[in-house]
Amino acid sequence: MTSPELGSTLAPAKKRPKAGIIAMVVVLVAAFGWLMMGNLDKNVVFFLTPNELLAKGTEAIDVPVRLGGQVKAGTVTWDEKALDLRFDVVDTDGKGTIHVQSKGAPPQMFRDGMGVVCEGRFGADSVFQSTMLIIKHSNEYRAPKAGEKPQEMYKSLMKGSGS
Amino acid sequence: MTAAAAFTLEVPKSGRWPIFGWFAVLFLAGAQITAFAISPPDRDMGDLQKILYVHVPAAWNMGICYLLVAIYSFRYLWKRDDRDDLIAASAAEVGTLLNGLTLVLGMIWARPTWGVWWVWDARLTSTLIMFLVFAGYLALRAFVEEPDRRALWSAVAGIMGAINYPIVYMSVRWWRTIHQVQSTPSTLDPTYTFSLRLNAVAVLFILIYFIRRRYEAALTERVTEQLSQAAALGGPLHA
Amino acid sequence: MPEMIASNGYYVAAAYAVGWICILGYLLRLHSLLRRSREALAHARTIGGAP
Repeated sequence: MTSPELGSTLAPAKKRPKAGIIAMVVVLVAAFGWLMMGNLDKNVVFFLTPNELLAKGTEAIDVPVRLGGQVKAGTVTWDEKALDLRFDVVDTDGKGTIHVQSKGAPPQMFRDGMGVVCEGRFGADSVFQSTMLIIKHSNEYRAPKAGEKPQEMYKSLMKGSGS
Repeated sequence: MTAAAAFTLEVPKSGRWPIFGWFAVLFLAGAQITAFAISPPDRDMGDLQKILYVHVPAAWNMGICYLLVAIYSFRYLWKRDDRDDLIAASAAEVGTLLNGLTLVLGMIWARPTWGVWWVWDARLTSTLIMFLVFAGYLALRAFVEEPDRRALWSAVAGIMGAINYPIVYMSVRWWRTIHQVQSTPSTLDPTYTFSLRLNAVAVLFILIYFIRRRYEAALTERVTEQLSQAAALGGPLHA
Repeated sequence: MPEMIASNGYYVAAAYAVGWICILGYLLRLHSLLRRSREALAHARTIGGAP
Protein backbone atom coordinates (compact mmCIF):
# COMPACT_ATOMS: atom_id res chain seq x y z
CA MET A 1 0.00 0.00 0.00
CA THR A 2 2.78 2.43 0.81
CA SER A 3 5.32 1.47 -1.83
CA PRO A 4 6.49 4.39 -3.98
CA GLU A 5 5.17 3.02 -7.28
CA LEU A 6 1.67 2.79 -5.85
CA GLY A 7 2.00 6.42 -4.94
CA SER A 8 2.22 7.21 -8.61
CA THR A 9 -1.55 7.06 -8.83
CA LEU A 10 -1.53 10.34 -6.99
CA ALA A 11 0.40 12.10 -9.72
CA PRO A 12 -1.59 14.31 -12.07
CA ALA A 13 -2.84 12.40 -15.13
CA LYS A 14 -0.10 11.88 -17.66
CA LYS A 15 -0.55 12.05 -21.43
CA ARG A 16 -0.72 8.51 -22.70
CA PRO A 17 -0.32 7.25 -26.24
CA LYS A 18 -4.01 6.35 -26.54
CA ALA A 19 -4.13 5.61 -30.26
CA GLY A 20 -1.27 3.12 -30.03
CA ILE A 21 -2.83 1.21 -27.18
CA ILE A 22 -6.24 1.13 -28.82
CA ALA A 23 -4.69 -0.20 -32.03
CA MET A 24 -2.93 -2.88 -30.00
CA VAL A 25 -6.20 -3.88 -28.38
CA VAL A 26 -7.94 -4.13 -31.74
CA VAL A 27 -5.19 -6.37 -33.11
CA LEU A 28 -5.29 -8.58 -30.00
CA VAL A 29 -9.07 -8.85 -30.11
CA ALA A 30 -9.01 -9.78 -33.79
CA ALA A 31 -6.32 -12.40 -33.21
CA PHE A 32 -8.20 -13.87 -30.28
CA GLY A 33 -11.48 -14.01 -32.18
CA TRP A 34 -9.77 -15.65 -35.13
CA LEU A 35 -8.19 -18.26 -32.88
CA MET A 36 -11.51 -18.97 -31.18
CA MET A 37 -13.26 -19.51 -34.49
CA GLY A 38 -10.46 -21.73 -35.78
CA ASN A 39 -10.63 -24.01 -32.75
CA LEU A 40 -14.38 -24.19 -32.81
CA ASP A 41 -14.38 -25.14 -36.47
CA LYS A 42 -12.97 -28.57 -35.62
CA ASN A 43 -15.98 -29.53 -33.57
CA VAL A 44 -18.64 -27.42 -35.16
CA VAL A 45 -20.13 -30.15 -37.30
CA PHE A 46 -21.28 -32.13 -34.31
CA PHE A 47 -23.01 -34.84 -36.34
CA LEU A 48 -23.56 -36.05 -39.88
CA THR A 49 -27.01 -36.33 -41.41
CA PRO A 50 -28.06 -39.73 -42.83
CA ASN A 51 -27.53 -38.43 -46.37
CA GLU A 52 -24.03 -37.23 -45.54
CA LEU A 53 -23.15 -40.51 -43.87
CA LEU A 54 -24.46 -42.58 -46.79
CA ALA A 55 -22.62 -40.33 -49.25
CA LYS A 56 -19.33 -41.19 -47.58
CA GLY A 57 -19.75 -44.81 -48.64
CA THR A 58 -17.22 -47.35 -47.38
CA GLU A 59 -15.11 -44.59 -45.86
CA ALA A 60 -17.69 -44.21 -43.10
CA ILE A 61 -18.00 -47.91 -42.29
CA ASP A 62 -16.98 -48.92 -38.77
CA VAL A 63 -15.44 -45.62 -37.71
CA PRO A 64 -16.64 -43.62 -34.68
CA VAL A 65 -19.15 -41.08 -35.92
CA ARG A 66 -22.22 -39.17 -34.79
CA LEU A 67 -25.40 -39.53 -36.78
CA GLY A 68 -28.16 -36.96 -36.41
CA GLY A 69 -31.65 -36.90 -37.81
CA GLN A 70 -35.25 -37.56 -36.99
CA VAL A 71 -36.82 -40.74 -35.65
CA LYS A 72 -38.96 -41.99 -38.53
CA ALA A 73 -42.55 -42.40 -37.37
CA GLY A 74 -43.72 -45.97 -36.95
CA THR A 75 -40.26 -47.56 -37.09
CA VAL A 76 -39.56 -47.79 -33.35
CA THR A 77 -39.41 -51.23 -31.76
CA TRP A 78 -38.46 -51.64 -28.12
CA ASP A 79 -37.66 -54.95 -26.47
CA GLU A 80 -38.03 -54.24 -22.78
CA LYS A 81 -36.39 -57.48 -21.64
CA ALA A 82 -33.36 -57.31 -23.90
CA LEU A 83 -33.22 -53.49 -23.59
CA ASP A 84 -32.96 -53.48 -27.35
CA LEU A 85 -34.15 -50.40 -29.21
CA ARG A 86 -34.43 -50.19 -33.00
CA PHE A 87 -35.58 -47.34 -35.14
CA ASP A 88 -34.89 -45.57 -38.41
CA VAL A 89 -33.26 -42.18 -38.61
CA VAL A 90 -34.12 -39.96 -41.57
CA ASP A 91 -33.00 -36.58 -42.79
CA THR A 92 -35.30 -33.65 -42.22
CA ASP A 93 -36.30 -33.94 -45.89
CA GLY A 94 -37.52 -37.48 -45.12
CA LYS A 95 -34.86 -39.15 -47.30
CA GLY A 96 -31.72 -41.10 -46.48
CA THR A 97 -32.99 -43.73 -44.06
CA ILE A 98 -30.52 -45.43 -41.73
CA HIS A 99 -31.45 -48.29 -39.40
CA VAL A 100 -30.22 -47.78 -35.86
CA GLN A 101 -29.80 -50.31 -33.11
CA SER A 102 -29.31 -49.05 -29.57
CA LYS A 103 -28.95 -50.65 -26.16
CA GLY A 104 -30.78 -49.48 -23.10
CA ALA A 105 -33.79 -47.29 -22.44
CA PRO A 106 -33.77 -44.07 -24.46
CA PRO A 107 -34.06 -40.62 -22.86
CA GLN A 108 -37.63 -39.85 -21.86
CA MET A 109 -38.22 -37.45 -24.75
CA PHE A 110 -37.51 -40.12 -27.35
CA ARG A 111 -40.47 -40.53 -29.68
CA ASP A 112 -41.63 -40.58 -33.29
CA GLY A 113 -40.43 -37.55 -35.20
CA MET A 114 -38.03 -36.42 -32.45
CA GLY A 115 -34.56 -35.21 -33.39
CA VAL A 116 -31.81 -37.56 -32.21
CA VAL A 117 -28.03 -37.75 -32.38
CA CYS A 118 -26.53 -41.25 -32.11
CA GLU A 119 -22.91 -41.80 -31.23
CA GLY A 120 -21.53 -45.05 -32.56
CA ARG A 121 -20.45 -46.83 -35.71
CA PHE A 122 -22.10 -47.55 -39.02
CA GLY A 123 -21.70 -51.28 -39.59
CA ALA A 124 -20.96 -53.04 -42.86
CA ASP A 125 -24.44 -54.60 -42.49
CA SER A 126 -25.90 -51.07 -42.93
CA VAL A 127 -27.09 -50.94 -39.31
CA PHE A 128 -25.85 -48.09 -37.18
CA GLN A 129 -24.77 -49.44 -33.79
CA SER A 130 -25.43 -46.62 -31.36
CA THR A 131 -23.56 -46.52 -28.07
CA MET A 132 -25.10 -43.24 -26.94
CA LEU A 133 -28.42 -41.74 -27.84
CA ILE A 134 -28.86 -37.98 -27.38
CA ILE A 135 -32.10 -36.10 -27.94
CA LYS A 136 -31.95 -32.98 -30.09
CA HIS A 137 -34.93 -30.97 -28.97
CA SER A 138 -36.57 -28.40 -31.23
CA ASN A 139 -37.09 -24.82 -30.13
CA GLU A 140 -40.83 -25.37 -29.78
CA TYR A 141 -42.74 -25.33 -26.51
CA ARG A 142 -46.45 -26.03 -26.66
CA ALA A 143 -49.11 -26.26 -24.03
CA PRO A 144 -51.02 -29.57 -24.07
CA LYS A 145 -54.23 -29.51 -26.06
CA ALA A 146 -57.52 -30.03 -24.25
CA GLY A 147 -57.66 -33.52 -22.73
CA GLU A 148 -54.05 -34.28 -23.65
CA LYS A 149 -51.71 -35.25 -20.84
CA PRO A 150 -48.05 -34.25 -21.11
CA GLN A 151 -45.65 -37.06 -21.91
CA GLU A 152 -48.33 -39.63 -22.61
CA MET A 153 -46.72 -40.02 -26.02
CA TYR A 154 -43.52 -41.45 -24.58
CA LYS A 155 -45.35 -43.88 -22.34
CA SER A 156 -47.60 -45.16 -25.10
CA LEU A 157 -44.68 -45.49 -27.47
CA MET A 158 -42.62 -47.47 -25.00
CA LYS A 159 -45.50 -49.67 -23.89
CA GLY A 160 -46.96 -50.25 -27.30
CA SER A 161 -43.91 -51.64 -29.03
CA GLY A 162 -41.76 -54.72 -28.76
CA SER A 163 -41.82 -57.61 -26.29
CA MET B 1 1.64 17.94 -7.12
CA THR B 2 -1.44 19.15 -5.40
CA ALA B 3 -3.22 16.93 -2.99
CA ALA B 4 -6.59 17.98 -4.34
CA ALA B 5 -5.83 16.52 -7.76
CA ALA B 6 -5.63 13.05 -6.24
CA PHE B 7 -9.22 12.99 -5.11
CA THR B 8 -11.10 12.93 -8.34
CA LEU B 9 -13.18 10.08 -6.93
CA GLU B 10 -16.07 10.73 -4.62
CA VAL B 11 -17.55 8.36 -2.12
CA PRO B 12 -20.56 6.83 -3.90
CA LYS B 13 -24.06 7.27 -2.58
CA SER B 14 -26.67 4.59 -3.03
CA GLY B 15 -29.31 7.19 -3.86
CA ARG B 16 -32.42 5.65 -5.37
CA TRP B 17 -30.62 2.59 -6.78
CA PRO B 18 -31.73 0.13 -4.07
CA ILE B 19 -35.27 0.47 -5.41
CA PHE B 20 -34.23 -1.89 -8.21
CA GLY B 21 -33.78 -4.56 -5.56
CA TRP B 22 -37.42 -4.15 -4.58
CA PHE B 23 -38.47 -4.20 -8.24
CA ALA B 24 -36.58 -7.47 -8.54
CA VAL B 25 -38.39 -8.97 -5.53
CA LEU B 26 -41.76 -7.87 -6.93
CA PHE B 27 -41.12 -9.19 -10.43
CA LEU B 28 -39.61 -12.42 -9.14
CA ALA B 29 -42.70 -13.10 -7.04
CA GLY B 30 -44.98 -12.42 -10.00
CA ALA B 31 -42.84 -14.49 -12.32
CA GLN B 32 -42.98 -17.51 -9.99
CA ILE B 33 -46.76 -17.31 -9.94
CA THR B 34 -47.11 -17.24 -13.72
CA ALA B 35 -44.40 -19.87 -14.12
CA PHE B 36 -45.76 -22.41 -11.69
CA ALA B 37 -49.43 -21.64 -11.16
CA ILE B 38 -50.50 -20.37 -14.59
CA SER B 39 -48.31 -21.73 -17.38
CA PRO B 40 -48.99 -25.45 -17.99
CA PRO B 41 -46.35 -28.18 -18.36
CA ASP B 42 -45.07 -28.61 -21.91
CA ARG B 43 -46.72 -31.23 -24.10
CA ASP B 44 -43.46 -33.11 -24.70
CA MET B 45 -41.29 -32.01 -21.85
CA GLY B 46 -43.73 -31.84 -18.98
CA ASP B 47 -42.55 -30.02 -15.88
CA LEU B 48 -38.97 -29.85 -17.18
CA GLN B 49 -40.10 -26.89 -19.28
CA LYS B 50 -39.98 -24.81 -16.05
CA ILE B 51 -36.19 -24.76 -16.29
CA LEU B 52 -36.60 -22.56 -19.39
CA TYR B 53 -37.62 -19.73 -17.04
CA VAL B 54 -34.29 -19.68 -15.23
CA HIS B 55 -31.82 -20.90 -17.85
CA VAL B 56 -32.79 -18.49 -20.63
CA PRO B 57 -33.05 -15.30 -18.50
CA ALA B 58 -29.63 -16.11 -17.03
CA ALA B 59 -28.17 -16.45 -20.53
CA TRP B 60 -29.76 -13.24 -21.86
CA ASN B 61 -28.76 -11.16 -18.87
CA MET B 62 -25.24 -12.55 -18.98
CA GLY B 63 -25.13 -10.96 -22.44
CA ILE B 64 -26.21 -7.60 -21.03
CA CYS B 65 -23.48 -7.80 -18.38
CA TYR B 66 -20.82 -8.55 -20.97
CA LEU B 67 -22.09 -5.74 -23.20
CA LEU B 68 -21.62 -3.37 -20.25
CA VAL B 69 -18.12 -4.80 -19.73
CA ALA B 70 -17.27 -4.03 -23.37
CA ILE B 71 -18.74 -0.52 -23.29
CA TYR B 72 -17.05 0.55 -20.05
CA SER B 73 -13.75 -1.13 -20.94
CA PHE B 74 -13.62 0.84 -24.18
CA ARG B 75 -14.62 3.96 -22.29
CA TYR B 76 -11.83 3.38 -19.79
CA LEU B 77 -9.27 3.03 -22.58
CA TRP B 78 -10.56 6.27 -24.06
CA LYS B 79 -11.08 8.45 -20.96
CA ARG B 80 -8.89 6.74 -18.36
CA ASP B 81 -11.54 7.26 -15.73
CA ASP B 82 -11.18 4.82 -12.82
CA ARG B 83 -14.93 4.70 -12.37
CA ASP B 84 -15.37 3.10 -15.81
CA ASP B 85 -12.88 0.41 -14.83
CA LEU B 86 -14.83 -0.34 -11.67
CA ILE B 87 -18.19 -0.46 -13.48
CA ALA B 88 -16.71 -2.89 -16.03
CA ALA B 89 -15.33 -5.03 -13.20
CA SER B 90 -18.68 -5.09 -11.39
CA ALA B 91 -20.53 -6.04 -14.59
CA ALA B 92 -17.94 -8.74 -15.27
CA GLU B 93 -18.41 -10.26 -11.83
CA VAL B 94 -22.21 -10.40 -12.16
CA GLY B 95 -21.83 -11.63 -15.75
CA THR B 96 -19.58 -14.46 -14.63
CA LEU B 97 -22.12 -15.44 -11.98
CA LEU B 98 -24.88 -15.57 -14.61
CA ASN B 99 -22.59 -17.36 -17.04
CA GLY B 100 -21.91 -20.05 -14.44
CA LEU B 101 -25.63 -20.28 -13.70
CA THR B 102 -26.43 -20.63 -17.40
CA LEU B 103 -24.00 -23.54 -17.66
CA VAL B 104 -25.14 -25.36 -14.52
CA LEU B 105 -28.86 -24.86 -15.17
CA GLY B 106 -28.32 -25.98 -18.75
CA MET B 107 -26.65 -29.16 -17.53
CA ILE B 108 -29.46 -29.89 -15.09
CA TRP B 109 -31.89 -29.40 -17.96
CA ALA B 110 -29.89 -31.43 -20.48
CA ARG B 111 -29.65 -34.57 -18.35
CA PRO B 112 -33.36 -35.45 -18.35
CA THR B 113 -34.20 -33.97 -21.78
CA TRP B 114 -31.22 -34.73 -24.01
CA GLY B 115 -30.12 -37.70 -21.93
CA VAL B 116 -26.63 -36.37 -21.16
CA TRP B 117 -25.18 -33.77 -18.78
CA TRP B 118 -22.82 -32.31 -21.32
CA VAL B 119 -21.84 -32.43 -24.99
CA TRP B 120 -18.91 -30.70 -26.63
CA ASP B 121 -20.94 -28.98 -29.29
CA ALA B 122 -20.23 -25.43 -30.46
CA ARG B 123 -22.80 -23.77 -28.18
CA LEU B 124 -21.80 -25.44 -24.94
CA THR B 125 -18.08 -25.25 -25.68
CA SER B 126 -18.14 -21.56 -26.57
CA THR B 127 -20.21 -20.76 -23.46
CA LEU B 128 -17.67 -22.58 -21.31
CA ILE B 129 -14.77 -20.77 -22.99
CA MET B 130 -16.46 -17.45 -22.27
CA PHE B 131 -16.91 -18.43 -18.62
CA LEU B 132 -13.23 -19.35 -18.35
CA VAL B 133 -12.13 -16.08 -19.97
CA PHE B 134 -14.10 -14.07 -17.42
CA ALA B 135 -12.94 -16.24 -14.54
CA GLY B 136 -9.46 -15.31 -15.79
CA TYR B 137 -10.48 -11.65 -15.90
CA LEU B 138 -11.51 -11.76 -12.24
CA ALA B 139 -8.31 -13.59 -11.31
CA LEU B 140 -6.30 -10.95 -13.15
CA ARG B 141 -7.98 -8.23 -11.11
CA ALA B 142 -7.25 -10.09 -7.91
CA PHE B 143 -3.56 -10.53 -8.70
CA VAL B 144 -2.51 -7.21 -10.25
CA GLU B 145 -2.16 -4.71 -7.44
CA GLU B 146 -1.18 -1.53 -9.20
CA PRO B 147 -4.52 0.15 -10.07
CA ASP B 148 -3.60 1.73 -13.43
CA ARG B 149 -2.00 -1.39 -14.79
CA ARG B 150 -4.84 -3.53 -13.45
CA ALA B 151 -7.40 -1.30 -15.12
CA LEU B 152 -5.57 -1.32 -18.46
CA TRP B 153 -5.09 -5.09 -18.57
CA SER B 154 -8.64 -5.68 -17.36
CA ALA B 155 -10.05 -3.45 -20.07
CA VAL B 156 -8.23 -5.44 -22.75
CA ALA B 157 -9.25 -8.78 -21.20
CA GLY B 158 -12.83 -7.58 -20.76
CA ILE B 159 -13.16 -6.63 -24.41
CA MET B 160 -11.64 -9.94 -25.51
CA GLY B 161 -14.08 -11.80 -23.28
CA ALA B 162 -17.10 -9.82 -24.37
CA ILE B 163 -16.57 -10.49 -28.09
CA ASN B 164 -17.30 -14.12 -27.28
CA TYR B 165 -20.92 -13.34 -26.58
CA PRO B 166 -22.02 -12.77 -30.20
CA ILE B 167 -20.16 -15.96 -31.09
CA VAL B 168 -21.97 -17.86 -28.34
CA TYR B 169 -25.29 -16.37 -29.37
CA MET B 170 -24.88 -17.16 -33.07
CA SER B 171 -23.18 -20.56 -32.56
CA VAL B 172 -26.47 -22.43 -32.87
CA ARG B 173 -27.14 -20.74 -36.23
CA TRP B 174 -23.65 -20.84 -37.66
CA TRP B 175 -22.81 -24.43 -36.73
CA ARG B 176 -24.48 -27.77 -36.29
CA THR B 177 -25.11 -28.28 -32.60
CA ILE B 178 -27.14 -30.36 -30.17
CA HIS B 179 -28.42 -27.19 -28.59
CA GLN B 180 -31.49 -25.95 -30.40
CA VAL B 181 -31.68 -22.54 -32.07
CA GLN B 182 -33.31 -19.69 -30.17
CA SER B 183 -37.02 -19.98 -29.57
CA THR B 184 -39.13 -17.13 -30.91
CA PRO B 185 -42.64 -16.05 -29.96
CA SER B 186 -43.86 -18.18 -32.88
CA THR B 187 -42.28 -21.37 -31.51
CA LEU B 188 -43.38 -20.63 -27.96
CA ASP B 189 -47.00 -20.62 -26.82
CA PRO B 190 -48.00 -17.16 -25.50
CA THR B 191 -48.32 -18.42 -21.94
CA TYR B 192 -44.65 -19.48 -22.00
CA THR B 193 -43.50 -16.28 -23.72
CA PHE B 194 -45.13 -14.18 -21.04
CA SER B 195 -43.64 -16.11 -18.12
CA LEU B 196 -40.24 -16.13 -19.76
CA ARG B 197 -40.23 -12.38 -20.31
CA LEU B 198 -41.42 -11.71 -16.77
CA ASN B 199 -38.59 -13.85 -15.40
CA ALA B 200 -36.10 -12.15 -17.72
CA VAL B 201 -37.16 -8.69 -16.50
CA ALA B 202 -36.89 -9.87 -12.89
CA VAL B 203 -33.33 -11.03 -13.52
CA LEU B 204 -32.61 -7.72 -15.30
CA PHE B 205 -33.59 -5.84 -12.12
CA ILE B 206 -31.40 -8.19 -10.07
CA LEU B 207 -28.55 -7.44 -12.47
CA ILE B 208 -28.99 -3.66 -12.19
CA TYR B 209 -29.12 -3.86 -8.41
CA PHE B 210 -26.11 -6.18 -8.18
CA ILE B 211 -23.88 -4.23 -10.57
CA ARG B 212 -24.70 -0.86 -8.99
CA ARG B 213 -24.14 -2.04 -5.41
CA ARG B 214 -20.97 -3.91 -6.39
CA TYR B 215 -19.73 -0.74 -8.03
CA GLU B 216 -20.47 1.25 -4.86
CA ALA B 217 -18.42 -1.19 -2.80
CA ALA B 218 -15.56 -1.15 -5.31
CA LEU B 219 -15.51 2.65 -5.53
CA THR B 220 -15.58 3.01 -1.74
CA GLU B 221 -12.57 0.67 -1.63
CA ARG B 222 -10.74 2.79 -4.19
CA VAL B 223 -11.39 6.01 -2.28
CA THR B 224 -10.11 4.33 0.87
CA GLU B 225 -7.03 3.14 -0.99
CA GLN B 226 -6.26 6.64 -2.23
CA LEU B 227 -6.81 8.08 1.23
CA SER B 228 -4.38 5.67 2.85
CA GLN B 229 -1.79 6.29 0.15
CA ALA B 230 -2.11 10.03 0.57
CA ALA B 231 -1.87 9.68 4.31
CA ALA B 232 1.25 7.55 3.99
CA LEU B 233 2.88 10.02 1.61
CA GLY B 234 2.02 13.37 3.02
CA GLY B 235 0.03 13.18 6.19
CA PRO B 236 -3.54 14.46 6.54
CA LEU B 237 -5.11 15.86 3.42
CA HIS B 238 -7.97 18.22 3.03
CA ALA B 239 -9.51 18.17 -0.38
CA MET C 1 -39.82 -44.81 -18.54
CA PRO C 2 -42.59 -43.68 -16.21
CA GLU C 3 -40.20 -43.73 -13.26
CA MET C 4 -37.83 -41.44 -15.15
CA ILE C 5 -40.67 -39.00 -15.69
CA ALA C 6 -41.54 -39.13 -12.00
CA SER C 7 -38.02 -37.93 -11.16
CA ASN C 8 -38.40 -34.80 -13.33
CA GLY C 9 -39.52 -32.88 -10.28
CA TYR C 10 -36.07 -33.36 -8.75
CA TYR C 11 -34.37 -31.77 -11.75
CA VAL C 12 -36.72 -28.78 -11.65
CA ALA C 13 -36.24 -28.44 -7.90
CA ALA C 14 -32.46 -28.70 -8.30
CA ALA C 15 -32.40 -26.03 -11.01
CA TYR C 16 -34.45 -23.57 -8.97
CA ALA C 17 -32.45 -24.34 -5.82
CA VAL C 18 -29.19 -23.61 -7.65
CA GLY C 19 -30.66 -20.37 -8.99
CA TRP C 20 -31.88 -19.13 -5.64
CA ILE C 21 -28.71 -20.12 -3.80
CA CYS C 22 -26.55 -18.23 -6.31
CA ILE C 23 -28.68 -15.08 -6.18
CA LEU C 24 -29.06 -15.03 -2.38
CA GLY C 25 -25.44 -16.02 -1.84
CA TYR C 26 -24.22 -13.19 -4.02
CA LEU C 27 -26.62 -10.78 -2.29
CA LEU C 28 -25.18 -11.68 1.11
CA ARG C 29 -21.61 -11.36 -0.15
CA LEU C 30 -22.44 -8.00 -1.71
CA HIS C 31 -23.87 -6.58 1.48
CA SER C 32 -20.94 -7.75 3.57
CA LEU C 33 -18.59 -6.17 0.99
CA LEU C 34 -20.50 -2.90 1.16
CA ARG C 35 -20.41 -2.90 4.94
CA ARG C 36 -16.70 -3.71 5.11
CA SER C 37 -15.77 -1.12 2.49
CA ARG C 38 -17.62 1.59 4.42
CA GLU C 39 -16.01 0.58 7.68
CA ALA C 40 -12.59 0.67 6.05
CA LEU C 41 -13.31 4.13 4.67
CA ALA C 42 -14.45 5.42 8.03
CA HIS C 43 -11.30 4.01 9.56
CA ALA C 44 -9.06 5.60 6.93
CA ARG C 45 -10.72 8.95 7.50
CA THR C 46 -10.04 8.91 11.22
CA ILE C 47 -6.36 8.39 10.41
CA GLY C 48 -5.80 10.45 7.31
CA GLY C 49 -8.34 13.22 7.64
CA ALA C 50 -11.54 13.65 5.69
CA PRO C 51 -11.37 14.27 1.96
